[in-house]
Amino acid sequence: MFRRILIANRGEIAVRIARACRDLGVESVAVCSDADRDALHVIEADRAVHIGAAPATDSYLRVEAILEAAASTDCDAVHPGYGFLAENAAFARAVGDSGLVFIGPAPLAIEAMGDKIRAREIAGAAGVPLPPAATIEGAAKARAAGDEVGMPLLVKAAGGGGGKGMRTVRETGDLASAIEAARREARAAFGDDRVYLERLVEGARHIEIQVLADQHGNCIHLGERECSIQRRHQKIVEESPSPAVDQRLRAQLTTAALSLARAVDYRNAGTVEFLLDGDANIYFLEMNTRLQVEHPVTEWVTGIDMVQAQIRIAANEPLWVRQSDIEPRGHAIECRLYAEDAQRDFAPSSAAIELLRAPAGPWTRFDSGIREGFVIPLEYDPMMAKLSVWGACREDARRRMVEALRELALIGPSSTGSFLIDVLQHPAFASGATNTSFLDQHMPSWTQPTDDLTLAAAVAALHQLVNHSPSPSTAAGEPSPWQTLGSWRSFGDGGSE
Amino acid sequence: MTSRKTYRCAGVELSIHLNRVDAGPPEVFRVAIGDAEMDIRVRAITPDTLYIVQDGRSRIVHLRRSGSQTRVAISGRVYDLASGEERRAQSPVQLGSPELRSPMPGTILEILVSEGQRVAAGDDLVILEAMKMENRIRAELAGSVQAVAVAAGDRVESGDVLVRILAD
Repeated sequence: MFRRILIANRGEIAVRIARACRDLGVESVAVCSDADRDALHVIEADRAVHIGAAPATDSYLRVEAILEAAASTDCDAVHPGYGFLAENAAFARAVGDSGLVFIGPAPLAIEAMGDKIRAREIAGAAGVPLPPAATIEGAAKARAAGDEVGMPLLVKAAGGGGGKGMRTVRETGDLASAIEAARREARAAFGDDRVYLERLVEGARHIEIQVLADQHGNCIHLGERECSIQRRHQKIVEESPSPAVDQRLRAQLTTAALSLARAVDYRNAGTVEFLLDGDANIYFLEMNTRLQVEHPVTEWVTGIDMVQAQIRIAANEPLWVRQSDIEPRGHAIECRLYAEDAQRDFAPSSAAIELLRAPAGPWTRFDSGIREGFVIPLEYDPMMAKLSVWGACREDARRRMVEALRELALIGPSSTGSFLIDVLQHPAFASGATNTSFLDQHMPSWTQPTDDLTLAAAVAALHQLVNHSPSPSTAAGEPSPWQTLGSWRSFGDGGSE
Repeated sequence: MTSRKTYRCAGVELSIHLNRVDAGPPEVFRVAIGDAEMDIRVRAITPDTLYIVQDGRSRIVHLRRSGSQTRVAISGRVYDLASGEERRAQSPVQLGSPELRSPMPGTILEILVSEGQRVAAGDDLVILEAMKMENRIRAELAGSVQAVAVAAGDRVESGDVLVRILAD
């Protein structure tokens, strides 16, 4: 096992990795930018190294600075988390070249799956069903490629996924501007402006298979996750198992996923993403060669700690479970809490966390990268935390999630929490009728319900009159801190930069 | 003792009459809002957190106050209340405003219009990058572009004027 692991990431996933290290008795080293000097992941790791200015290109994307931090703290492995350098083959190679272990797949597998056009070719050769697609060579060929694929279609970035550099096109006239916008976004996100066209499978579900492979030839799957509830092609609710996947379909999906993993000699944790249409056809989307944001739902139903598994596999341990040992139990749901205003087209909201009370209770988990006083930086993805729950069945989990979301109190930036209560309570969600157009179809212009508005106003008014009496323990005469402190202020009230 | 307050939230104006009917502990307030009247039993747990019982139901309520604004978190939702007296002080971006303001902090990627150009409501005017996403800022009314207040590469804060439109 490793002695000390450098966590090349930030936010909730860096906290998650630090916890896995603690559980394994391995020390952890965080890295941080100017914006994150007192962030939760810095506090949770055993030590921290400052690696640069707030923009990611000056810190979390600086390979040299990260390798230097690993060397100066005497680490023997690097965990990339997700995002940033997690799917950067050059980084994985540089980590290996410095004599450190990269906790993830081999650079060749990252490269093969990172180029989405090549990934399609490899998947097709491995017998994985593909949606119709075309590549574009030169602006003049765009229209012909569009006609070949057919409308509606998606313009997708070849250099990476995650909804970046992706545009939906319904009419040929909009194709050129969509390609241009996708290229620009792809260049900014991946440094690669190649895009391709893929038929949009409408009303489909997003289903993905979690794969786990060791360095001794063992390769298993941990079942599926459904992640159909998306805004801007980015997931916001995930669950396992999928209400639409039966044994036959599961066998088809997992067989396809494992054959692709074997085709690229995959090691460590990876995810093969598919679309499932209304006629039970499956189509390959992409393979993510890293830990997924939504890994907790798989952890809930399988009992396998995904991050520990990644570390143990990277430390060359053979898999300690066989496929036949994996018997998913019950149902898990995850909700992502973004600092975004669901009433204003999910506009990001950068502000200080003024108050945070996380939900608790049985089978309830809060993976967070924030704390009171922390200012959500503008420079990074606005995901603050993930709430996940387990239940004996889907309805049990769904109800528990609604209660957990109601228990969450977060004052500061806008949050998707309130919106997600209504998603989870929607009859279509409750019945399992989910697909990737769910939010457009069922919640096109959400405004927050005003159920408790009068009560909120009443409480706001009486708050100024209420007697903040001393607690019994200090009644003898000593003023309690509540009396002497006055109103609380957040620690970090400075804006960004 | 009667106390009155007015709040605005989500376009709704709420007039509140408040009476402390029991000095407690726990204190009890009789609250009238419009036609509704309720008794609320209150115990302060911290300056920001109240334990209330209303209509027999226990709840924890968290509050943060800054200036004329009070944010109240109840049952997973946050209500943003502006005191009636000062509500004009911080009106958000006006709908149909001739001044197109940035809805969020970010960096200007591209300006899609130039001065004098005709625009229709809903036309894309500016592309703003914030938190790694491209956001299209659209005209709220038809008219001609009077002034472009920013340039590509500029960093803007929420509420900064981006483009001024001379309405038809």
